[in-house]
Amino acid sequence: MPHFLPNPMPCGQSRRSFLWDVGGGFAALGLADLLSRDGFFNSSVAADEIAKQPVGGKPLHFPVKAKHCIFLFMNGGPSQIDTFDPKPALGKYDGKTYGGTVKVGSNGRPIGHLMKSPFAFQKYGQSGLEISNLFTNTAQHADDLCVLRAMYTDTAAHSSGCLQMNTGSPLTGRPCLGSWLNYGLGSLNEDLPNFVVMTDPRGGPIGGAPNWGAGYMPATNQGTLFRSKGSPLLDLATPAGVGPRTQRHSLDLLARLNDEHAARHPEQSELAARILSYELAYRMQTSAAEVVDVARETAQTQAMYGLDDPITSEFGSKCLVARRLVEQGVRFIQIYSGGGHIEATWDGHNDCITNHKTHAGETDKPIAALITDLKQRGLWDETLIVWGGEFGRTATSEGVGKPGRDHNWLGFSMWLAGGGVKGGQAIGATDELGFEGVEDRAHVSDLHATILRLMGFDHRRLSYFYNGLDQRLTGVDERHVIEKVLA
Amino acid sequence: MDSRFRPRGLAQWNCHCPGLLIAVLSLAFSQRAAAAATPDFEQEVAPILINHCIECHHRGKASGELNLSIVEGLRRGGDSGPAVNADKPETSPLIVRVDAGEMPPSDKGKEPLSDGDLAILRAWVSAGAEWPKNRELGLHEQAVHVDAARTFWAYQPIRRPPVPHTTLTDRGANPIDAFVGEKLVAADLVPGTLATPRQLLRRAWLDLIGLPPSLKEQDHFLANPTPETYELMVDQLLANRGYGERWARYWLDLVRYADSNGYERDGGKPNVWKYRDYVIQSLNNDKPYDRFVVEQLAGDELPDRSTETVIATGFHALGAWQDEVDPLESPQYRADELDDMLRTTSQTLLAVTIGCARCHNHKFDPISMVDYYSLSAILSPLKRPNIGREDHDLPAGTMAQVQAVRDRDQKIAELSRNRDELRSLNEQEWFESGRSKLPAEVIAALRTAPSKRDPQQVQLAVKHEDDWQAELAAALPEERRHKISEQEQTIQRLRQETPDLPRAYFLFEDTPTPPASYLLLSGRASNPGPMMPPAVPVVLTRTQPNITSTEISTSGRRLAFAHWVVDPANPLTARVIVNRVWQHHFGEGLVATPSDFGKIGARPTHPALLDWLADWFVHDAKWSLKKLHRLIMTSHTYQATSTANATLRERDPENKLLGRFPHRRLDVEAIRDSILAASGKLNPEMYGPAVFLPIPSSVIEAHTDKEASWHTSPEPAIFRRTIYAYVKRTLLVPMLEVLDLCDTTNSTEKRSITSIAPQALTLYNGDFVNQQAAFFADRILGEAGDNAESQIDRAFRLALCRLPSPTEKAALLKFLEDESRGLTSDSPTTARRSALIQVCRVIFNLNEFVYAE
Repeated sequence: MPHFLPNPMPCGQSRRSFLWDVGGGFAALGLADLLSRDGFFNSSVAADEIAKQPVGGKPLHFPVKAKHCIFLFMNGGPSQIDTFDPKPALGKYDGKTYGGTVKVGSNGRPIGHLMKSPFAFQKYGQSGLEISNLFTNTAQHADDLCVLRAMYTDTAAHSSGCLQMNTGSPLTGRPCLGSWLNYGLGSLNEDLPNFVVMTDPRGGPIGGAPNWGAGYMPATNQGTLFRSKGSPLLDLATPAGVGPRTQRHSLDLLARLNDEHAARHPEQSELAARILSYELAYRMQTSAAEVVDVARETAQTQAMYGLDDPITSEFGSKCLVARRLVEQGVRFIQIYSGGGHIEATWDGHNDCITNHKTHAGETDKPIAALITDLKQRGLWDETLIVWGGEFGRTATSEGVGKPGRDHNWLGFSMWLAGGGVKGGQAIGATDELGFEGVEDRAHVSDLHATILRLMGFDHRRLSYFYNGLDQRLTGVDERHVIEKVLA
Repeated sequence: MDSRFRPRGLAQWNCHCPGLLIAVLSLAFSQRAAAAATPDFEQEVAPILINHCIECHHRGKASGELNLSIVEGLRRGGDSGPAVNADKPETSPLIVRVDAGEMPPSDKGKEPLSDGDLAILRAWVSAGAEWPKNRELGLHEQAVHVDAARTFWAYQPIRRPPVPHTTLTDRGANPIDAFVGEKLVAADLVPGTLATPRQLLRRAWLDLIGLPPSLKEQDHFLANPTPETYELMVDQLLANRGYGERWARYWLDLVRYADSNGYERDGGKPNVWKYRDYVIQSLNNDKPYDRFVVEQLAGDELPDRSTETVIATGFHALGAWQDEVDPLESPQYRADELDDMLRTTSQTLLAVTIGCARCHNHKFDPISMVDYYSLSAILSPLKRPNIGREDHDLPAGTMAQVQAVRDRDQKIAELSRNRDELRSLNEQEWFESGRSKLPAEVIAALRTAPSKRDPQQVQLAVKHEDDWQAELAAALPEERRHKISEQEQTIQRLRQETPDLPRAYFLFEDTPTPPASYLLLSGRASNPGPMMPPAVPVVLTRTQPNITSTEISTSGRRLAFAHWVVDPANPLTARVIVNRVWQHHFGEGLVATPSDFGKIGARPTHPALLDWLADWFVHDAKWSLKKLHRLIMTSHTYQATSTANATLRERDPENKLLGRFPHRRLDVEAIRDSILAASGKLNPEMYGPAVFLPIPSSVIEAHTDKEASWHTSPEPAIFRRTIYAYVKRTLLVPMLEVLDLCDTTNSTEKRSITSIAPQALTLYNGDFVNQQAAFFADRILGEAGDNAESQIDRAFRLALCRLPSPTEKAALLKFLEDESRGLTSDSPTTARRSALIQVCRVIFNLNEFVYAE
């Protein structure tokens, strides 16, 4: 443990007065936890009592079913028809012109013919949940999956769709699901960011940083970009040319000068907070680097996630890092599959078949491994997994004679699994052709309400005051928890 | 008896036959008992349903699946069946639930119905619950009690209170001190002493300019730090152009300024930087605030419209813009866009959170849905000059200038057409003459329109274009040649006579009679309610602004609104801006919620002072912001020490009474700019297109468009002040973002100040600080020579405006010594420089460096 503050009592104060002075505004720093591990509390009882509690956070409304959430974001919009929503009727109508009333296609792109899925569906597990052969590995966990087959959203544009899936609103500038969970649940480990985002090497999601932004909430609630290889966090590494000894000595000098300054301003609790943020940052240099060091895992584990295969290694290492982050107490981890535009994402406008083979091929094995691994380590019951994209795809081809599919925001599939989720079921249904939800429809905000519920909150009551209103993740409209999801 | 329970016509009867009154009343009661009188739906029933029921039982929110805003909802009922039962009225759930006190739900803070109201409902249900055809009750019809609400402090007219006498002997010359002193004395508190000249100097510089003073400026002031020289310094700082660069940023936060539109393409807003420059210039020129506001709201509608006033109206165009909206969604998107503009305008200028009244009346403030949509109608005529997904700018100038350019372009178009006709005639004749030396297929290629050429023709055309043109020129008859040259000269002359106008980024109006606006039920564009003429919130005025269309073919709505906003009788405008200026000097406003002066907002800590300042600002200072700064900065309240004595700390821990100057962290702009000033690298260039600061490659990798998204500007452009940094909504510069930059999509009244580990990582390990630390070290080596003590002294004075204490100096000297010795692989000179760089790095990270005290 590096000893950083020359005086174990910051600013020469008593423990009590120090805690009093720093007050609630300092909660984001995990002070109690930090100090307890630094031996600031002499009594181990006091330290233990405090260590159990998350730092920050709001009172819970329900028992917590899941403490952590891993959101596997299939960027670009995966086709429900080719993955989790079998449509045998399409076989009958394949190649025919669609004459129904549902609005098909978006923004004037050409509408071709009805197109059946080239992927075979099969029943899996005791539940007999039907899943296409794009996800044969994930399908081994069919009895754990709860598929929502009648999801819908408010927009057919990628940027608005991604923003809506992440923030509940198609408009930019609102806090994300991860921000709300950080705000509501608080942190279990202040050595690591609490809301972690790992983007695809091909690029980030459309709409950019607002997809992990905190909107009107303070920046402490925003997602932190995390790389699964190399230095995981921005500016985590000591600058080139500065050795570890110099780093330590210079930080000691900084602390010493800052302490002298703080002693002249005893009324300023913020000064102590800022002093400690440097020590926390120093500690993060070690802890964050450790968490991405997947070489520490056994060869068997690495192989299970597909790290030995160039096709699966990228997404696999992110899934493995996600598990390691969960072990360290991180609340919300989002992993993107696909980045950039069109075929580099799940946005199969030109050739949905090749596209989905590629993206499912990269992710199926790692996702299955993540589920297996969480189960093996006893983390399954406390971790919620969410799978899906910003919308689905049409049952018609995009233009005649090419196997692309256009955006479909009226009916698409997502699945939940893990803590508090009743697996082995499909909730809701789309119409015969898979265009529009017709039974147990669930809006994106209903999904958010359900996630909040599983993590201990009533979506109507978890609010943040801004702009004269108690703002909520699920907005002003009435939204419902999808009760059938709950185990 | 409930005053509402009065059968219609009773008043007339009363008038004509006073003697009958008693009899009629008893008749009314007996009829009610017999449930025989049918209450009037509009007069009696609807108000009950509207004010007590439909908030939770309407189309957009039908709790228990019950919608009481339409007759079908009433008949169908909700979870517990039809709401009314005509056969057995007493068993109707509507009556039973209300009678049992279950509805309206008291646990949600709802008032129970009065007996009279219940009686009306009973009578109505008994009589068959008749409902006028197609009548939908709306939340906008809920009663707003405007008259009672006018007594709220913020809606009261501003009246100048007398300046109190204070017993604090050194206070009183400045009215601010008298008001603040009065409260301190009343609390039996003694304010702190004045800050030291050195502290005052640094405070004033960081506050007004956002930079530390240079050594020359330090020497100059500290040589003779009297109250007179202090005042002189304040005047000089207000005249310093850096003032506009510092204070414009606060305004840009409020109007959610950014250089790009956000969303998928996140395209640049063309020439939007001219708006940023307009704000800087306006502040530096001390443009009166009322004029500043009018120009931004309606600079295009002003009689003295100019390029500058049109640039100012860029105000309305600063929000994010989604260029990809499905036609089906676009009416809703338009409503969302207007909402964004309306919220920004009303919060920034009036501190009214009008956005809360979009779907229902404001829950706390006397602002109705009608107010919201009437105000929205003032902005709704504005149009965006986009062409499809492409955002555009427009020429900015007086209407005469714009018209002159239009006329010119028309003339030029005609001349060009004539000229082209002559040329094409010549080409035709030459072709027909068969005298060309070029092969037939070449001529065929050249005479095919460029867009229609096949690949071979493209090649041929490229190869022979010059020969063909030479032939054509040679073949041109003298008369035609002369004509063409005349036409070209005229075109040139026209361009010289009427040069192009500067272009700017703004929304525009193009008709004096814009289409009608409608109230949107539940805020949904798909559910329009009554038509809404433009108007301002009723609670804020007794006379609506007089709207007349302008000579330049616009509706005139914004101009009328703008004049109403800055009318001295407006109770909010002056209070709001005075409070904002106060907030940026002291960290907190006199009203701690500077964009919400409503019921949920904070109350002023010093209401009399706020009103005095607001009135003085309008009538004495004539809306001069610089005069306001001067008044504040020359007060003892501002000049007080930031170190609290024990009594103040104990009795006023939050410093509500302003007994001391609040110590606070600088915003990221001032931190970054101060680092550049200290390192000597600050590039003083003002204005112009924004600068792309370096962004680490790992962050660019996480962007959808990677390389295309960002083209870092070269040195020394990247060393300009931070206000010139490009703000791209989908890709923020990490250093700015992590250090609490404002939200770029919503109006920000006050930045968050957080202390989190990633900030420490950025400031300690990040490229910018480490690079600048090296520049700083080299500067010190150059200016202070080899002596370590002189180096430390100079570094402290440049960065902190003071000399190090003996203990600080000892620690620093020891560090330099140890570090240089530790770096054995380097030459002694290199090792000493490396050690000094570390000292500079530490100085940039000191709390004292990033706090103004």
